[in-house]
Amino acid sequence: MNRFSTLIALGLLLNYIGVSQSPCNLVLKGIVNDNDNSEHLSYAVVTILGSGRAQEADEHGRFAFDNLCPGNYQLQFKHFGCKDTTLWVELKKNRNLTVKMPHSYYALKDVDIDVEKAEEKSTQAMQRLDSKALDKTKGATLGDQLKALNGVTTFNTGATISKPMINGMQGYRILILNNGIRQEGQQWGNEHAPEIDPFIAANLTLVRGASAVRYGSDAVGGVVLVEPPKLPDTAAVTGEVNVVGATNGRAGVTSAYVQGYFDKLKFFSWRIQGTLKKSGNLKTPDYYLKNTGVEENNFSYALGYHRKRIGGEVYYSQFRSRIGIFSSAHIGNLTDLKAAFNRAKPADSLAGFSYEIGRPYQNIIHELVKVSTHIHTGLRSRFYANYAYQFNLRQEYDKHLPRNNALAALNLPELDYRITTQSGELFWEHDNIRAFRGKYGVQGMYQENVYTGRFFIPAFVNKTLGAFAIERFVQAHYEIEGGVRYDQRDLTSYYWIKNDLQSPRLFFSNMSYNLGGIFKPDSGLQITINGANGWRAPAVNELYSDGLHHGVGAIERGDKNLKTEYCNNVITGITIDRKKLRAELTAYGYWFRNYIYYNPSPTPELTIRGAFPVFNYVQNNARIVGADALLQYNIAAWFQVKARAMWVRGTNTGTKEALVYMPADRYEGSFTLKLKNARCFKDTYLEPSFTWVDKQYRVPDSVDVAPPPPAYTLWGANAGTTLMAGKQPVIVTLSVSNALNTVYRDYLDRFRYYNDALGTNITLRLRLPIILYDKKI
Amino acid sequence: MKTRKAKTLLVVAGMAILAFAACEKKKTNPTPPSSTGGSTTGQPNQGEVITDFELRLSSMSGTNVVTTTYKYIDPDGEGGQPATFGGTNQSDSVIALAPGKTYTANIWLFDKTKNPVDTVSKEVEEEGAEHMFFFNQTNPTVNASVWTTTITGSGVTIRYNDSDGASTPRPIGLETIWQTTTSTLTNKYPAKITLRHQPNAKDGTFAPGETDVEVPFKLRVL
Repeated sequence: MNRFSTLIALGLLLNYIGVSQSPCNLVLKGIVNDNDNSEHLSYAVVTILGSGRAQEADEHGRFAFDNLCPGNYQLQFKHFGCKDTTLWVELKKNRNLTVKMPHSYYALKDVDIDVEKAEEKSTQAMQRLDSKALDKTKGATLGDQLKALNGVTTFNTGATISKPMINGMQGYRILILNNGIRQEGQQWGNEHAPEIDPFIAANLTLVRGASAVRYGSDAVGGVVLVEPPKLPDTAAVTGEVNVVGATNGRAGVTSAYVQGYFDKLKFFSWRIQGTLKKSGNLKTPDYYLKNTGVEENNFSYALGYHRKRIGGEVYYSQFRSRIGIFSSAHIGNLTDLKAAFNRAKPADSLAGFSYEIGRPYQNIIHELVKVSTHIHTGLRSRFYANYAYQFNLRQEYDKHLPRNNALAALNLPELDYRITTQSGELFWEHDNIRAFRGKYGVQGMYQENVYTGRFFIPAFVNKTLGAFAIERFVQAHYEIEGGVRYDQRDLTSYYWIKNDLQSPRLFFSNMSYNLGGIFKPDSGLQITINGANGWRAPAVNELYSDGLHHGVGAIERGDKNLKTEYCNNVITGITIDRKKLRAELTAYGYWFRNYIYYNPSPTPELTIRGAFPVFNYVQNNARIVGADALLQYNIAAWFQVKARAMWVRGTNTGTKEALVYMPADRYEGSFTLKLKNARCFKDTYLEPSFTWVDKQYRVPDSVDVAPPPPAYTLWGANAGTTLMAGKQPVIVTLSVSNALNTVYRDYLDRFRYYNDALGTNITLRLRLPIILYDKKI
Repeated sequence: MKTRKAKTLLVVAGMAILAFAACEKKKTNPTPPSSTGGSTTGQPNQGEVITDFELRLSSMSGTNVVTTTYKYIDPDGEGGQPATFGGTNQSDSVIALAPGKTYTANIWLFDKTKNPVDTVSKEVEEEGAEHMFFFNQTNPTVNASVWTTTITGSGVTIRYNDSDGASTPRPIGLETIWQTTTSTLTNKYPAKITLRHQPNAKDGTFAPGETDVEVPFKLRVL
């Protein structure tokens, strides 16, 4: 922005000189449009080269130069994210121009700004949490951060393990893209949270609805994009420090990054980032939960190389966490489970606090190496080649050491899974060629999973291959997109039956399609509709799991004859953005054939440890429909009210019963009070809020050992300000959750069988953007 | 220009090497560890399971000691195949006692997935201070350091006959003395035997800790 204002100032100065020279009185005016979608480009900088006259177009892209003499002028147009455009104009009389600027993602200098996704606007419902929105939830788990988005809930195992749930779906049916790479880990357990440091993200973007064509056939629920900040492209070294402290669990988090552009070594940019987190025993309104601490240390670094026509990036991230599991909630037979549920207070509730993490706990490592390159194949098209390597280690330590002292001394995890994934993709995308924008590519993956310790799911080798093509027709008031994709999956599993090694190989292949549109009758109204189909090959645990799933306390049995799950999905959204009112309404429906789910067996199974509930993976036809709404009204510039609502209904159409573990109806309300900027305080706000979650009445019969918990209301508040400590801004946020210390349990928390949900938590966050060096300053 | 290219190449290669060097080394052998017959040294974290529960009831018949063994077998521990009682048609599920007799009951636990077979009950004995057996999940009564419980309705009294040797001694229940009274004909009474693991929490009651073994026997006195 500084550059623009300097230009304008310069322009005005020269303009003044120009006027004094000539009596000319012609007017050259015009409008600057985006060549891609014919939208007006606000605030483009227009310069008459040679004369030094320049001005900034207004918000509708309009500009006008007056007092010009007849003659030939060379005009230059600059706009962020567009290629600079120059054109010659012959001026004999007043003229009105329409200028189209190509969207080529070139920066203003001779380096290329890293690639923006061509699908900036999705025909599916799309929302984004930017850094300002993330400020309110920093330090929370990724799942809990995503809850700020419409349609997202979480499936929790206590307060420290949360899996995001989109449109009532989780696990395999949703996809997380970590810096553009499909996150691959041990997704099969409900107590396996995504292995990602949320502080990596500058933005969290959610694309809801089946995204099979773009991201792979199994992403039927939706996709979460975890996007790191863009690497810098100007000579500067900047960074950010985050410090978070929370009362519940006495948690502390620090995270920081530094990034820069090599002044000497041209075209190179870099970033290093790291996070440390520690929290101790969490507290419900009445008692502490023993062994609920978390330790996390993560780091990442990136190196970018960007020239005019080519660019590349190497990215490495490592995530390490140790998560204590509330010891009263660890594996027990049916008798134990019922006893736990009937107990007013869990057996291992404590009066005191500790940071100690003992057995049972999880030890998790996730590593990602990404090498990405692209080359501009023309002014408006690029070719990409990306490779990624991922390693995920999951170790679960049972509550007790082996009785055998020699084995106990080794202190080994009872369950140890290592999954290694290599994936690559080649694709080509083009911006507007006439009115078409598209993307074509192939993707492949090779994955190996090995384990030691207790058997639960087999070792396997999984190979996938996919190819896709997407084209979009872009007009000023509407866009239409169609896509097609082919996928195949080759899964070989290895497990023992007695002393015979079994190695069944399964092959799945299918097509998926997508058709969607965006309609924008005016700038304040947008309607999206998308229809897609997708399919999902049964996952390895759904096929072959056989044993006691300690994290769940149930015997789970796969079915090796499961068939492919198919899904048709329609999702539609309306966004109204008026001066005072903002409304978002999304409605969706999924129709599944061979929906794979977890079905309880009517009789528990007897083991030497007593009776355990048995769950079999079965399939049937199913339907999930839902809607959510957001309404925001600015009563005054300083006062805003906001309400959100969410409804999901899941039905097993085969048995006419409700699907298990669907989110209950949820309503949220808040108002925001914005205070006037003072000398040292900017952007100050206060935001009290409440959440009301209804009881889940729609549950299948006899699946659960305990009935769904009653409805509950939670009160909370956020407050924030930007403190100016001299020139250094400090963004301060204070949040209170469960302010009234309400005792409650949530249906989608597995620990509801054992203990109450958390009591009051007060979180204080500081964020310091820092500039270590800037060539301009 | 050449030096710049070289420098560029060097930095990229350096970063790539660094990235890969930092990765965890992994085993790339998709073959799973053997689930049976694996030696404990080969798979130290294969997991300890209890596969066999044996209740050995000894009584005097004249001058001879007669021992009857009742079994409950879960060949792969919990999960996998379900547990079954031994004997013909699971006849071991009912403990047959005679009226007016005294039995010494010894409980043995084995892990037969190990080679050699691991006698888990020995380890339970070693860690007696955190283990205790219960009958029908009932807390035993203590009278002058004698711990007893009854099987409701059957007239059978069970006296604990061992000690965990802790500073506050409590029984473990690996050895108990069963005293029958009169015949209750063909009536069967539940006699569920539960081993509770109660580290730092053993207090002679059923509630603390969690279940290691649970065998739903019945008994009759005829």
